[in-house]
Amino acid sequence: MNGLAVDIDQPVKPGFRLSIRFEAREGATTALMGPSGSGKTSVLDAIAGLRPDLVGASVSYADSQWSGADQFLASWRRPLAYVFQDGRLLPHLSVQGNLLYARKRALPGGLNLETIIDWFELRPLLNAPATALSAGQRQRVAIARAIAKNPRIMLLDEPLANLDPAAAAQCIRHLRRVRREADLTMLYVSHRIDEVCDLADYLVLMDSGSTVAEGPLTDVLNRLDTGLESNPSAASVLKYTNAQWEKESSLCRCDVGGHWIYVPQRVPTNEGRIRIAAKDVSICRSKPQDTSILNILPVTVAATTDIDAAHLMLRLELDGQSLLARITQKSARLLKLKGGDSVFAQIKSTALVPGD
Amino acid sequence: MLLSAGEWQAVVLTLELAAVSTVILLALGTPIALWLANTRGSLRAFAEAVIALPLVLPPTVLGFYLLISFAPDSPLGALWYNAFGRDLAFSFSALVLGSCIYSMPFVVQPLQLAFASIPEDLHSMTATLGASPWDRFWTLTVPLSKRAFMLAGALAFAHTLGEFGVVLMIGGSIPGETQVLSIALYEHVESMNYPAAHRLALLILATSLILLFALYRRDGWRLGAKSSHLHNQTHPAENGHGR
Repeated sequence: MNGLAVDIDQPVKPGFRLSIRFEAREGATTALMGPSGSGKTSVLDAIAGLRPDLVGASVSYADSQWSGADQFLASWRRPLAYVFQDGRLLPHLSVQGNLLYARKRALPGGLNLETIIDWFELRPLLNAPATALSAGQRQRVAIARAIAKNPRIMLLDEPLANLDPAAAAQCIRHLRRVRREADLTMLYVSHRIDEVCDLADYLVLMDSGSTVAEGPLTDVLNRLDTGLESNPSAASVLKYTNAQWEKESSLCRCDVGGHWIYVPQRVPTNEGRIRIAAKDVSICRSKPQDTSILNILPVTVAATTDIDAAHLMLRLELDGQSLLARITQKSARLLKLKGGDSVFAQIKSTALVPGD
Repeated sequence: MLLSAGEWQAVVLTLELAAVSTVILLALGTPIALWLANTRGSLRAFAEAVIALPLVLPPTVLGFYLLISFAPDSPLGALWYNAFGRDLAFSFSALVLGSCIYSMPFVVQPLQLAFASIPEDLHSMTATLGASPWDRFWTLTVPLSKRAFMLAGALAFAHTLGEFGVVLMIGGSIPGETQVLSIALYEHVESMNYPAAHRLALLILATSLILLFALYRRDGWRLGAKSSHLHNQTHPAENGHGR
């Protein structure tokens, strides 16, 4: 097995048993998602070697066993880096001092430190004391510092949880670049569907210490039996294979299976993904002619599931890709929607968030 | 200052004793404080009680037991004689040993407090950045405990300067070997030489005051600098600070 294999089955605290098993693929980003208190941080801590008390945990990477029945590799010997929710900068050092702390202990190879400083826009902050940074700046330094260690595996524990939306969006942009250009295996813990949609390749869903579902991101997102579908921010991800900037409209059009989807910003690469919140998708029986909505896609209703008395979730097929739509029970009744129907999905362009 | 040759000798001896004791105390006190900061349970409580004993015991009690155990026919005294070929009792080494025991709480307690107040989170963070325990001690624990080290060193030094009871019991007032300033002063008073007693008393008083003043002023300066810098530089990027 290449990559990181984790197998934990033991009580972590009174009344809470951690029972989880998954593999994080080499070079990919695996998200660990679940509500607060589902044991996500304990899993990261076990991987990092910060929980020697979890004697039943088995963690192995590539050919080496990190934690096992009679094995425990000290945290500082594991080729990983850990980005904590609270940044944890060394308070007696400057930004540069924090980066160099990791650099001096870095594994061989990896990115140039200057490149990392530029990626995270840290050059103007280099001499600032670590205690004088805003939450967003602190987290940028923390992520840059983790990368400066040149780890094989990067663990991120809700790194954006304490940031305002603008700072979080900036961090996501930086993390996407890391994902794209650095050869890293990332394990990203979050309870937010939008972050996971933007960053993850694989998704492990957790609840109360156990795995609910796991697999490639789109597979898990589009299942309608994981509990994720009833989350108000449920979303799906479409992959595009070509992107063109339309100068006259200042929109970018992305090719999704031969259909253009317009997004309101430039995309950094020609191939990537678009996150579409299920609540931003509406359904028409016939193709609307006089609508302000630019994105109208011919889709097939693949599955439906009730969310509550008022809402239901549809899984729509679009040339082999899936799209979620959250509509009201009343609309479904009026349109007489059922599985197999061919309909049109409308998505407001301004609601779309492209990624790579 | 108008000191006699004997008094100068006492000054030099006192400073020597304080310096040697401070170095030894910091070297011994640091691992003890580290252990105490990382241990729980009744063993720690017992160790803390033993180390704190000199704070409450009359120095004569401590001095009495030390006198007994330094005697040539005691196990420690005999061991010392076999190792170094000279008696431990009434020697400079005996004073150093005595001061180290006497001043240990003044070194261990500030260091233990400082070590324990370093967040566990920072230890685990530096470990994930590849820092070994030894590395973490020098690059995390020591820099974050800088003030405690300064305080511990200054207190050990000042406390050894002011030592009297223990030295009186185990020293024997041998000029050049065990006659420190406080003892010399005591002997001046005993022999009714008040002008000489005044000189020494004033010297000790002034030195201690200057030492403590220097220590507190440095702390005050640091605290002041820290708070003003927090006010001015909350967001260096926005203020155009930084590079």
